[in-house]
Amino acid sequence: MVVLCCVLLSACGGSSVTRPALILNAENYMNEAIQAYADEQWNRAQQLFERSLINYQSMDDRLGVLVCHINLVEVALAGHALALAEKHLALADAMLKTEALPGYQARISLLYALVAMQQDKMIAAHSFLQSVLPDFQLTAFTVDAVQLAAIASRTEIAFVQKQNESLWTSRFENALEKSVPANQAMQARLIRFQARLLMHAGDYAKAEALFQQALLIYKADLSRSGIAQVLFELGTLSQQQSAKAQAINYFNRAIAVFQSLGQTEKVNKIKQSLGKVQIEQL
Amino acid sequence: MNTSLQSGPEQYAQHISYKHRERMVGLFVFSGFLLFLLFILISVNNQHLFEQRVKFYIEVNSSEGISPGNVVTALGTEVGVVSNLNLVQEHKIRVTIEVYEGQRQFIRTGAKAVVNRLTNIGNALIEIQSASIDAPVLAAGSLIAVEETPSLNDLLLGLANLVQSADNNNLLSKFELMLPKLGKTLENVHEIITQIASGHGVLGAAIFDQQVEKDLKVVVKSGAEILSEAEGIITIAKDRLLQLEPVLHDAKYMTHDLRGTTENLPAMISELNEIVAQVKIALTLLNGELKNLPGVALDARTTLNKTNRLLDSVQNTWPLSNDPSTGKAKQLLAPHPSYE
Repeated sequence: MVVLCCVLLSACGGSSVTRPALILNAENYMNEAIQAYADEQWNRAQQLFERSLINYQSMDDRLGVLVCHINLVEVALAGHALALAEKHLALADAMLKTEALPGYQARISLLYALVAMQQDKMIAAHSFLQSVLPDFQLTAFTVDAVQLAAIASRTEIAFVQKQNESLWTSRFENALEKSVPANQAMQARLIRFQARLLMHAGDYAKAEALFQQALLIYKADLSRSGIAQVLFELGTLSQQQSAKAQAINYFNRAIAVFQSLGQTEKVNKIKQSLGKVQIEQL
Repeated sequence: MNTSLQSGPEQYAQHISYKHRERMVGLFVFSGFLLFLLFILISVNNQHLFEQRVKFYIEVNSSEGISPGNVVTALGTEVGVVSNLNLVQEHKIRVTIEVYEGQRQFIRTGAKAVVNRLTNIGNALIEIQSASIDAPVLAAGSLIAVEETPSLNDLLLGLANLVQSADNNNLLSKFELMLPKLGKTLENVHEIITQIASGHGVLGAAIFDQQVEKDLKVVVKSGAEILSEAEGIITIAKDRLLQLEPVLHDAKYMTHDLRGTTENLPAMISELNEIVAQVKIALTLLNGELKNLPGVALDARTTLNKTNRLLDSVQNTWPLSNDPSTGKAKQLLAPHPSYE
C-alpha cells in the first residue's frame, strides 16, 4: 500500500511537460549508435553518432557535442579509420582547451595514445599514457575505467616492445581486481596476455588452455573482434607447435570472422600467415 | 623378079597405115605432155602467179623478221605476201602487203595485223585478224592497224637486263642464302603433312582418325534420326489439325452464339457504371473519415509519450530507483584498450 502511494506521488511529481523532439532525437540516435557499436557495426555506429552530433550542435549542447566527438573517435579507431579518429580527437581536444568541461582530459589522453598505437608510434603512445596511468608505487591505488584501459594498452605496448611484459601483465591483473564492476572483455584481455607470456616461455599446453578460456568469454559476450583475434593467436600457437592442419583451421576461422567485420587489413595479414603454413605443409 | 614387082605401089600403101604399137607409143607421149601441162597449171595456180593482187599497208616499228616474200595469213590461210618495205616518217617502216584477189574477202574493215616474231626464228608471221566477218571488205590501199610482239632478241635483252640488275643487287647471293631455309621450311611442311596423314593433331584427327569418322557418322545419324522424328511430329501435328477441324467448325457456331450474348452487354455496362459511381461516393465518405486518422494517431502518440515519461519518472523516483542520474555520462562509450 505504501509502495503504491509512493508510485502515485512520484507520478504526480514527474515531468508533465514533454521533452523537445530534438533532444529526444539526439538521445535516440546516441542510444542506437551505442547499440551498433556494441554489435560491432562500425559504419552504422558512425552514421548514427554523426546524426546525434548534428542534433547536439543544432542545440549548442556542448557536452553532447564533446561526447559525440569522443564516441566517434572510438568508433573510428575500432574501424581503423585513422583520419576520422584524428579529426574528431582534435575537435574534442580543442573543446576541452577552450571550454570549461572538466573530467574528460584523461579520456582524451587515452585516445591520443590509442591513435598513436594504431600508427605504430609506441613511444608517443607511451608518453600519452604516462599522464593517465595510476601511481603503482602507492600500496592502495585506485583505478577507474580510463586508467584500466590505459594499463591494458600499456601492457600491449610492453608486448610489442618486448620489455617488462610480465610486470605489466601483473599490474594489469592487480588493477583489474580492484576495478568495479567486473569487465568481461578486460578479463579476456588479461587471460590473453597471460597466454602470450606462457607461449613465449614455451608452455604451449597452458597457453592454449588460456586462449580457449578467452575464446569462451568472447563468445559468451559475442565480441566478434575478440573471437577473431583469439582464433588468430591460436593459429599462431599451433603454427609454433608445428600443428599445421590445426593452424590452417584456426586461420581460416579467423579470416571468416574478420571478413564479417569488414577488416580487410587483418584478413590480408592472416592470409599471409596461412600461405606460409600451407607452403610448409607441402 | 617377083620380089621387085611386090615392092612397088602396094609396098607404099602398107607403109602409111600405122601399126598398133606405133599408136600406143604416140598416145603415151601425148598423155605425158598433157600431164606436164597440168602440173604447170597447178603450180601456177598455187603460186598465184597470174592472179590479180590488192595492196594494203601496215606500219611497223622494226623490220626485224619482215622481208619481201613473207607470207601473210588470215584465219590460218595464206592470203598474200609482203611485197615491199619503205621507210616513212617518225622512223616507221611501211610494209606493203599484196593480198590475192581471191582471198580479199578475209580482210574486213576494222582488221588488225599482228606481227608475230616469236613463232619462227628469223621470220615474222603477219596475220590479219578481222573484227567482224559482217563488216564490209576493206578498201584497197588502206592502212591496217598493227600489233607487234617483241622479238626474241628484245626478250633476251630484257632478261639480260634483269639478270644484270639482280646481280648488281646481290639478289642471287641472297637467294642462295635463302635456299637452306627454304629447304628447312619444305622439310617442316613435309613433316606436318606426314603428321596429318598419320592422324595426329586436330586436323589430322579430323581427316584420318577413324574414331572421329565414327563420331561424325554418329552425329550425322543422330541428325537424320532427329529429322525423322521431326517429320513424325509434323505428321502428328497435321493429323491433330485435321482432327481439330470439326472443333473449329463448332467454334464458328459458338462465336455466333456469343455474339447474341454480347447484345446484353451495354445494359450490363450501364449497371456497372452505376455501381462504380456508388463506390466512388462511398470512398469519398471513407476518405473524409481517414483524414481524421492522423489526428487520432498524433493524440495516441502524445498519450504514449506521456505514459513513457510517467513511467521514467516513476522508475527514477525513490524508492523504485537508487540511480537517479540520467546525464550524458551514460551515453559515453566505455573506455577501450588498444584496438587490435
